[in-house]
Amino acid sequence: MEKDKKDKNVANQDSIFLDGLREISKKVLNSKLNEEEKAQFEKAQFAEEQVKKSQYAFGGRIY
Amino acid sequence: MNQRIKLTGKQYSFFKFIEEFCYQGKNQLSVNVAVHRLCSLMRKMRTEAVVIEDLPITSNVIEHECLAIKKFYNTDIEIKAFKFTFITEKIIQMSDIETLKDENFLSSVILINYRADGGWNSYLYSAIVAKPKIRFKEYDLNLLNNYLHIYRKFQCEVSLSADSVHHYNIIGSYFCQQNTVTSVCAHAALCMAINNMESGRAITPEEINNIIGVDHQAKKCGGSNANTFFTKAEVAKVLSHYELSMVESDFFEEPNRDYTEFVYRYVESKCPVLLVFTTTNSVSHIVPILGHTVNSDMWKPEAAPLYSHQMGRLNYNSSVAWVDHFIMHDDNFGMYLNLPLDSLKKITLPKHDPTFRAAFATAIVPKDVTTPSREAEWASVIVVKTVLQELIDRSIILDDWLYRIYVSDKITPYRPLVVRTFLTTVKDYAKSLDGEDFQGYKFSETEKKELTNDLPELFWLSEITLPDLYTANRTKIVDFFYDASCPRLENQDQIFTRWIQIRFPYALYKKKPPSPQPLSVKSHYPLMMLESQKDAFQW
Repeated sequence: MEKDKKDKNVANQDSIFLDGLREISKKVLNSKLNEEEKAQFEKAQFAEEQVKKSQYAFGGRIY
Repeated sequence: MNQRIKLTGKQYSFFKFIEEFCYQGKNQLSVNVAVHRLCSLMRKMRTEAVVIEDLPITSNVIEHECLAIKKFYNTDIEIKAFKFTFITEKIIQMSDIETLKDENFLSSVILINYRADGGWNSYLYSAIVAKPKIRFKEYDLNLLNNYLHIYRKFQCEVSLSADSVHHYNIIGSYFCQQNTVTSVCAHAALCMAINNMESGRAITPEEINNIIGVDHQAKKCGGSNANTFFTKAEVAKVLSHYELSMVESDFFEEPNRDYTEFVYRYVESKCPVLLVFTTTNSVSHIVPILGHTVNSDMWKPEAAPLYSHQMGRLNYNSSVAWVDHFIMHDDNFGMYLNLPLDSLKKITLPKHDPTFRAAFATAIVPKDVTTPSREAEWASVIVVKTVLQELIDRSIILDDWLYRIYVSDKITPYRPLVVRTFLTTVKDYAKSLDGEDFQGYKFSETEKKELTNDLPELFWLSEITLPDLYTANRTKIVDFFYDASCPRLENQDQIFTRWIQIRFPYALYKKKPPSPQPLSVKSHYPLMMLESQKDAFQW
């Protein structure tokens, strides 16, 4: 009986969650990046671009 | 006779062995540490015998190398080379070798000695060395929490007589040293990285010289009169020749960037990473990183964010937080060495404190991988938390596991999520779907197809979990799939369009078409085991 109850709860959870996902999938997810996160992204991306121009690592003498 | 056997068990001195065959130490205060490391490893792996062969310089395996050295010195210098085959069994005669199994062979090594500049120089031209293991009674045990990801099966041979050879396989990795005149550490690092990849190439320093135009006369890369240096463009040229590509990170330009996260995500993807670190102001050294160790009892991952008051969605813990060493080959010091992660980290600015710190890293990746691993991992946290927030905003009650993910950055004490990101293939991901979750639920065959049928051949997978599940169960709650071949982000919001699908407990949520589908797996599920981890001995 306990197991039946648990399975029923699981089934309910299953459909509640799916319904929720269906609802939010009707539109494109909104960007929820805050200013700090945006700055983190920009900084990291800038560094990734700069490294392509960098000649440091293999330009020196490597032993 | 060209081949002879030495028994190398108890009472045999490897110091004497090195004195006999590694001429560098003869009559001078010089030692080849990598040769000592090789012998130490062989001792630890319980070698009982070594077969020694004299290798003529006309032997096809070293001929080009010997010619290059002679060309560099422009004279017919003296060269003496040996091949060693280390074995776990006591053998009396050469024919005994035919009775051995593959696991009895520990290494196949070529050592070259050349006499120049007033003395002998010695180096390991190539050493195929089995994955380190512990012999316990009749079993071979892997090292605890030791994950070598870049290694493969090598076909080797040992001569039994002038006209017969015995073929065998070693599962392990390739190691080599620069000779300092026709090759430098960049040659060694490139050979060690490329030759250990699954593609099974066997490139040599001379092949690299041919690609970059070093001829040892007009253009010299080594020795005191070197007139050309190994530039980044040349590394790219070599990789391109082998249809490989590279992703780089510069830790002098971006000193706040943690070199360990960059290195780890690619090594976890089975992509070797060439790590450059400074030694003195003007000299750098380069080594290949091939794996890592893990310590699931680490204090810092959970304590540091709390004590330093770091909060926010992007202050999650990459699973590298539990990695305590990278496994590397250093051509100066030997194979399978453990590099403590903190040893090359500094908090000072590089321009004021430039010595002995990580400077640059180059990951060797398949040609079509363009999306940075960092972007994929950050997107996984942001997108998943955004989806959960949208559900909460609509008063949808999350199951316990997703709720714990949702509140991870809201509870006290703050408990950062754990994210493990790596490149994987549809084939490998499909193999990981045969397990069962913590409650014993499994994916149906239809669900397995649905989970894989819209995936590109290669993609970034981020496994999102909680610290307790990661360290105790090695399980995950969410799988996040992200495109690995994207152009540069034009704006950060594009991360919301580049993800492919998310596997939650209970449901698969695909971006296209937007139709969530139910899944049978409802609880935390085993982390994806890389092929190299399947026989891992872990705590």
